[in-house]
Formats: sequence, structure tokens, C-alpha cells
Amino acid sequence: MRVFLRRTASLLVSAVIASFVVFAFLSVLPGDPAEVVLGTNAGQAELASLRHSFGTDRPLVVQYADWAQGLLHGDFGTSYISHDPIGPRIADRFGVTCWLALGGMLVALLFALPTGVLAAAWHRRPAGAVLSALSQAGIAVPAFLAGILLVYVFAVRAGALPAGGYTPLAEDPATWARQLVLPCLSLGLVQGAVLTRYVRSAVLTVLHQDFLRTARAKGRRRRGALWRHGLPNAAVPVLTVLGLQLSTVLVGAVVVERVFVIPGLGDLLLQSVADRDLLVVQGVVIVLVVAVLVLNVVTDLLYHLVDPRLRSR
Amino acid sequence: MKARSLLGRLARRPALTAGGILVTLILALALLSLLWTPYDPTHVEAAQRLLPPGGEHLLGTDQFGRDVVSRLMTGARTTVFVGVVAVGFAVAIGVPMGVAAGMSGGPLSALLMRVSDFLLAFPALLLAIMLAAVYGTSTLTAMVAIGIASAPGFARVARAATLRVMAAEYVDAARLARRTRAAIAVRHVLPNIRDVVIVQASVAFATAVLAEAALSYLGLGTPPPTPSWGRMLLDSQELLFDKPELCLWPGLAVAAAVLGLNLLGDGLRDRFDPTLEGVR
Amino acid sequence: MSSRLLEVDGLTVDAGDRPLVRGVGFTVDRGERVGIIGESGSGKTLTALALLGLLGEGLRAGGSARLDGVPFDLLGATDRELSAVRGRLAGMVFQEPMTALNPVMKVGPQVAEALRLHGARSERPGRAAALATAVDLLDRLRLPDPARAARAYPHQLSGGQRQRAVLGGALATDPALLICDEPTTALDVTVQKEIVDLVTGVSDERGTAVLYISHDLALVASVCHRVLVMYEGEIVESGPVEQVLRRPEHPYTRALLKASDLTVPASRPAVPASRPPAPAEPRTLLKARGLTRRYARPRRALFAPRTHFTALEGLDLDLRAGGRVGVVGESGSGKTTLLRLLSGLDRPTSGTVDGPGVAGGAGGPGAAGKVAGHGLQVVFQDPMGSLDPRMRVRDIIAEPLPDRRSPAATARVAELLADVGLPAEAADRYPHQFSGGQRQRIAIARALAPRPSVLLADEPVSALDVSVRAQILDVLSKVTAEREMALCIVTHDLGVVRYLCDEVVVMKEGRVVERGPVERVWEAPGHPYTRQLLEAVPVLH
Repeated sequence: MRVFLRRTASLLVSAVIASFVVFAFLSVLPGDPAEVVLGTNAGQAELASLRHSFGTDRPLVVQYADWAQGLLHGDFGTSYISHDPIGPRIADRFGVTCWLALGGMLVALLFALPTGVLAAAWHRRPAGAVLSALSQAGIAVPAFLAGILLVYVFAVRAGALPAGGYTPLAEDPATWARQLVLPCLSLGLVQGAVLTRYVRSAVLTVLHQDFLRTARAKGRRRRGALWRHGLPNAAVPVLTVLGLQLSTVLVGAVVVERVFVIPGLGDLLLQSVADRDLLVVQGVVIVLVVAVLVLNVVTDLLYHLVDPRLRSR
Repeated sequence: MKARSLLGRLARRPALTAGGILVTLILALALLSLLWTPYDPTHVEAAQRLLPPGGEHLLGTDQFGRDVVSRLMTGARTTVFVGVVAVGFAVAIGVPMGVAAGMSGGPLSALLMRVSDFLLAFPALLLAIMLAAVYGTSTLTAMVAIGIASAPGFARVARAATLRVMAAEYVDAARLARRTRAAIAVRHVLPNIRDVVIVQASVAFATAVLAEAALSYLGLGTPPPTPSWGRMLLDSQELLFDKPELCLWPGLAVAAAVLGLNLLGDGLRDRFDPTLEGVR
Repeated sequence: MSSRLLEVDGLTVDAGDRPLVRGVGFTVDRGERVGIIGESGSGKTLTALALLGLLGEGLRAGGSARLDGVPFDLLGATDRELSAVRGRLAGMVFQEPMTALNPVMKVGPQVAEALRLHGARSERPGRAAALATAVDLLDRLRLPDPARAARAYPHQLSGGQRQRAVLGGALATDPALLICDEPTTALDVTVQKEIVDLVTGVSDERGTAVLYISHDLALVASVCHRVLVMYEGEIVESGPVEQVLRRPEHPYTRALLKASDLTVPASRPAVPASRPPAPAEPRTLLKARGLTRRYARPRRALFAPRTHFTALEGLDLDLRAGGRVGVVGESGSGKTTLLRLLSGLDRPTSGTVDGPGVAGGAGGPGAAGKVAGHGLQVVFQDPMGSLDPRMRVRDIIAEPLPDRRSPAATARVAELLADVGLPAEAADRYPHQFSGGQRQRIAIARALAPRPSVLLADEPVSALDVSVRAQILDVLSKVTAEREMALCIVTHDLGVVRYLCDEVVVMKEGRVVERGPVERVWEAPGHPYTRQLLEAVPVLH
């Protein structure tokens, strides 16, 4: 419980610092958004009135306070370019990206857990070496390249699955699922390859631990000892990596969205960068950063739950 | 006799050997491209569009009539350049911070870990997008973003290794021998954490190659006309129906570079610490 | 009683084409306790592991081993067959209690594990019943508050308590054979005595045969009826304990006996005749008064008051020229803290140290004091960790010298190597090219390099094999006597103090419980704890 409070507190502090950094970076450094909108040879009066309507003529501290306060009730401000409120747009897109990241992580886990455990259990056999080599090769393929290859095989060649696009779940669940298969696979297989290495390493480490020998001395068979004693211990280090992996998947989704033309956060982000719509960039970045921070805290707490040595402290 | 024993040694360490060969190959291509490429990699010629592999152009030409081999070679240069600068930057920042934190312990160490935890929330890609939004896309922003994002990894690894060294009795012996802190850092800490830093560097380099490819693919890395593998993938994706092999070459190049660096890292780790052989 | 339980014949263990154990044969009768003695690398642990099919990967066993009541040969049986024997007919206890238990599983289920693995499925006890048996067992092994211990996780127990839990797990099914692999090596002497008493007690009571593996001759002599001596993968001598100890036949056994007998004080080299006789009251080289060291515990809550742990409280100590003081204590006694304070590697919370080059006085907690340096040097415990693996021996030894690269330094290194009995070529090699004993000689040479007047030694032989311990102690004795240095040895090993020191300081929980001349304390210990310590040490004769 104390751990929970402490982590939550440090999460809040980190989030505040992050918002500050992002604000400083995207609102202070680039200069005047009014000039961005009107161009460099606009008249002073026009600039001044636009600045006033953006609120960028106020002191920076006030601007930050205003923005940060807005964030707390989901108000991300109004786009300088499209003049729409940013919050709803981000909310829409965030859902899409979440589906993608969750699906990717699911694929990664389904792939990595059995493969990693087997690669460790068979590490002296050719089959284990093959699994290791496969995961090593998988790590070397960037997610977007995996996406392109999958599109080539399943969409271009086989014509079995759509090459891209996105339909909301509520509209047409079947199309939604079909369209998400390839993006989730391309994210998940690559992350799964990375995760396989960690699972294999954790299980291998555990295989050499004394307590496994103790368990066998009590009459456990090799496999029984691994299941009952080995895997619960191997789960501890794997869990720490999982948090980082989830963050990587979330950010990796940004790229994969581009491959499959999915209107998620990444798409919004890249579009806003191209338009130099910095307030939107600022909003998306802070959402992604806070999501990553939250994921890390959740993993950390899980870690404390699994490992009694940390719990009692 | 000597050559045979060398071969034997290489065969006993397949990961190290394969990784070393791949990395050397890519480095060699990148260096060679400084002096010579079969064709001008940026030369556009409509008459030479989409030539098939073979003939005068070994791997054919792209939709602008540019020679694929030349572009791959120059792309290797971009990759190596970005990787070396980014990793160098990360080492230069991360290692001294990690060593300082590990040697002084206490509040500084805790602060450093907090900062690096915090930085982990800003992956290379997000940093690069932020930088690109403010300063526009360039090779420099990509390098800086990747460098900043990799620095915490080095700081953590260096700190952990330094803590192990500082707990060793030979450091106590050095203090009794009236070594200064700086001398302990140089004579005892650095030589003993060197191996882990080298292994981390090869891993970080692989990550940098992946990040650079992703950034170029998103149009946030090295701007055209300078060739880069990620950009080549982006350009060829639209031709996936007609000319899938155009995607294949840069894709293979990225995969080979990352695979080589990862294998090299694994091989070095096993070599430096034989007790870890097979683990990880 | 005398029926045969275990019969081992021609047992071999190979790593690839490298033989590690060669043709070992022996028998164990029901209820008999047999010891296997040997140093590291002698193959004693491999022999035991091979019997239960627990050898690590890459190791293969050959030969035959028949256990009464088992229809097949233990060597060459499948994992499935052996798993029915392990934990039912034969239990095993391992060396390192810290890692022998699963850290994420409660102790009770681990003790009860064997009960729920063996026998017909319908006859196996339920979870609750097995747990109740486990609690009973822990109670019989005299674990305080066994019900609570069963609900605890391993890290919440001390080393001795964990070893009892491991022992409980091995004894749960009341096996006919118990294999103990150095079960007390990692524990304090007083705890060792308790564990050993438990093992012999259970063995006498239930008629359990014990195969007891150890490097400690005296310990095996106190536990076992019969002893096997292993050397380089072979049994070189065997017989009843009395016979092997009194009339050893093999030269290795004789050497081992001689080396482990530290009861006779080291002979001191005679003082050269040309020297003037020593003054009546030798100079005091180091004087410590009221040394106290407290460590802050981490706060329980954000604003909770800081609590402190006192590692050392109000200690006085004088080191005189030519004097040899032994500080004895078990883990947690504060003896290592004392050594760090005396050497200046750490600063006391209060109290003073006046000695060669030491900046005395209390400093801020945790602040590293000004290091004592040249007047005082330390020989550390771990000869692996005290030498920088990346430095050549010449640079290691020359490190405390003022001008490390000078020809004078090179000459001094050669001289020091000769003093500690190492060849001059050693200077160009790296630490990993030496054995443990040789590395400790290098560490001694380094400590002597700046001609210190005070030498401190932290467990200088506890990481070494028995046969080289006496040699290293002799080197220490020789070099300090020649130089009229003050020597202070911090150790858990009473034998080392008896062998080398004139004065002993007995510590417990950060305080001195007794001090005095070694002879007097051994003959008439004044404090109950000293008596307990002395009684816990197994003796040969």
C-alpha cells in the first residue's frame, strides 16, 4: 500500500515535469504561432489580434497554467490551424492506437512465452538454437518493414486480408478485426521476438538456480520443477521488461499506423508536425508520455506483487 | 597453424564471428561509398526507370532511374554516421554520469536514476518527432534525438557496473594506497566497466539503426535527396504490387545491420564473461 | 542395523572427455554416518549429485549404485525413475541455504513438497494436512515459532533457519538416506553446531543413514562413524574415523591432517642476535577509544523518525609493536566494521582512532574518512575480489608505493614477491592466473609494500582451502615478526586466532564480551558466549 502511494506520487510529479518539458519545448522554443499561421510578412495589427485570440500574448507562466489546467479536464486547447478543439480529436485517435497496441502486445505474449520457455528448456538441443536464431532474426526486422512484408504476402499476393484502413469497432466488428490483424501481427511479432530473448534468458537463469535442484532433490521431475518453481521466478524479471515493451509497442504503433493508413494518434501526430500545428503535437506527445509513465508504474506495482522480497519492504 | 587456430577460435564463437562479419561488411560498404559508387546515387534519369536487376545495374533502378546498389551503399553511410554519432553522444553523456553516480552514491545516484527513468518515457521516436516539429527534419535532429534517448541506458549500465566495482575489495586497497578518487576512476573503475559499456554500445547501435530507419521512413530523418534505407523503403512501398524486390533490398540491409550488431553484442558478452555463456 | 543401504561401485563423472571423478566405490549401512572429506575440486560434491541424478548439464555419470529398496541402478536410471527415489528414500541438503529455497514460495509448502509428490495419488495428504506435518517437522528441528515460519517467505528467515527448512524438506518423508553437502559451511560456528546436532539427533532417533560431505576434518570426525578421503576425483583413503585420524596412511591425508590442525601455535622466527632485546613496554602503534558506529535504517514512512542500527559500540583497542591481536566474532558481531574504522576506510559515529596516518575523530555518518594509508595496510578476505583483475601483479603490488614506475619500485616488487614465496616471474602475470593461496600472497605483498607499521587482516584464510591456510598464516606470521609490526586479525575462525595471536578480543553484537591472552581465554573462558563459541568448534582429538 505504501509502495502504491509512493509510486502514484512519483507518477504525478513525473507527469507534471513532463508537461512542463513538453510545454517548454513546443510552446516556448519555436516562437510565435501567429507568425506560423499568417506567414512572416503579415502586418503587425493582424499578428497582434491573432496572438490575442490564441492567448499567446499572455505571459508564458499564465499560458502554461492555462494549458495544464485544461489538461486536467481533458481540454487540450483549440488548434491554431483547424480551429477545432483538440481534446475530442485526441480521444478519438487514442482509442484506435490502444486497440493496435493491445493487439500487438497480445500477439507478442502469445508468441514469446512458449517460444522463450522452449528455447531455454532446449538450449542444448538444435531445436532451441533454431528458436533462438529465429528470435534473433525477428529482432532485426523493424515493425514497419514487417508490416510491408506482411502486406505483400497476405494482401498483395494472397489477397486474404486488407492492406490497410480502419473501421470503428461499433460500425462493423468483422471489418474492424480483419483490418487490425496485419497491423497487430507486424507490431507483435517483432516485439515478441525481443520478448522471447528476455523470457529465454530469465528461464535459463532460473534453470541454474539452487532451489530448482532442491525441488528435484525432493522428487520433482525436471519439468515439474520448472513449472512449479522455475516459471514463477522467471516471471519476475520478465514482468519488468513487459512495462518497457508496452511503451515500445505504443510508440511503435505510431509507425505502423503509417504503413497501414490507420487514423490513430501517430497519424494525427505526423499530420500535425507536417502542418506545424504545434498545439496538437503538444497534446499528443503529453498523452503518449503520460501513458508510458502510467504503464511503467503499473508494471512496477505488479512487480512488487509478484516478488515477496520487495513486498515486505 | 596460426591461421587454423584462429579459424578454430572463430568457429567456436559463431555469434561473434557472424556479427563481426556483417558489421564489418556494412562498415566497409559505407566507407567505400565515400570514394566510389557504381553510379551517382542521386542521379535521376527517366529513361532508366525501374530497370530489372542484372545488366548494368546490379540490383536494377528505382522509379526515378537511380541505381539501387549505389543508393544502398550511400544509405549504409547515413546509417553508420547516424549510429556512430548518436551512440558516441550517448556514451559521452551516459557513461560519465553513471560512473559519477556509482562512485558517489547517495542522493546523486538516486537523482540520476530518477532522471533516466523519466527519460525512458520519451522514446527516441517521440523525441525526434518533437525536435522535427520545432526545428524541421534533418539528420542532426535524428542523431540528437536517438543520442538523448540512448543515454539513460548507458548511465544505468555504467552505474550498475561501477557499483559492483566500488564494492570490490581492490578499491578499498587502492584507497589505502592513497589513490585519489580520480585515479580510482581511471585506473580501476573504467577498465573494469569497459566490457559492459562495449556490449551496451553494440546494442544501442542496433537500436539506433532501427530508429533511424523508422524516422526516415516517416519522413522525419535524413531528408531527400540523400539516400537512406528507411526513405528507400517508403519510396518503394507504393510499388509493392509491381516491384516488390525494391522493398526487399533496403529491408534486408536494415535487418542485416541490426542482426550483425546484436550478434556482435551477444558474442562480446559471452567472450567477456564466459559464465554468462548461453544466458541472455 | 548393519544391513547394507547403499552400495556404490566404480562411480565416474566426466565433463566431455575430462574425468572429474574416477572409479569411486563405497558402501553405507542403514543408520550409518559416512563422511566424505576433500578440498574444492576433489569431486566430493559431484559424487553425491551423481547418486541422485542431479548432475549439472554437460556432466555424465557412470558405474553403478544400488540403493536398498530400489529395483534399478541409480546411475543410468531415467529422470522419471529417479524422481521416485529422490525425496522419498533419499533426501539431500545443500551448501548454500540462501539460494536453496524458492524465494517466491512460502516456506511451509516447500517443506511439505515431498509429502505431496510421492506414493499413490489417493494416499497423498491434502494441502492442509501436509502443511500441518511440515509445521510439526519444523518444530522438531527446533525452529522457533514453526507455524509462523511456515507462513513466511525464505528471505524473512536467517541462514540457520533456512537451513533447517531445507533439512525439513529433505526429512519430510523420513528417508533412509540423507545426503548433506557442506550444509554448514556458510553458517556461523554456533549455528553449525545446532544444525550438526540436529542431523546426528535425527539419524540416531530414526535410524537415518547420513552421507556427510565436508572440507572440515574435525567436523566430519565429530559427526561420522566412517570417513572417505577424496583427492582429485579418487578415494585415497577410507576407514573408521578413529583409524583414519590416528593412523593416516595416504600422504595426502597426513598433509591434510597436519594442515587442519591449527591448535599448535605457529613457531616464530627467532629474533636475530644482533638486535637489542625488546623493550619491556613495546610502543603502542594504534590506539582506539570508544569506537561506535551506527548506520541509519531507511525510514519506515516519509516522516517517521529515523532509526539506527548500532554495528559497533564503545570499543577500545591498543595495537602494539610486535603484538598480534585476534578479533573473533560471528556474522553481525561488528568485527568487519571495526576493521574498516581502524583502517580509516570508514569513520566512527563517535570515538577516536590514533594510529599511523589516521585522521581520528568522529565524522559525519557514512563519510569516508581520510584513509590511513602507508603506516597501516589491510589484507582482505577475498583474494579474488581484492586484486583488480585488469592489472598486472607488478602494478598491484606497486600501487601503494609513492613512485610506482621507478626502478626502485620494480626492485621492491621483486623483493616482496620473494618475501611471500612467489617467483619473480609472477610480476608480469594477471591475478586470474594464480590459485587462491597465491593470490592471497600477492595481497600480502601489496600490503607490505609501503613498509607499514600496522597490518590488519580481514578473514585472510577463510576463502582458502584447508591445506593452504596454514601456509598463508605462516607467511603472515613470518613477515610481521621480521618487521616488528602490529598485527590485527579479524576472523570467525577461533583456530586462526589460536594459531597466530597472543591476545584475543571476543565480540558479540557490536560489543566486546571478553578479552585477554589467548592461552588464558582458551583455558578458562570468562564469558558464557566465549565458552559457547569454544565448544561449538569441532576438534580433532
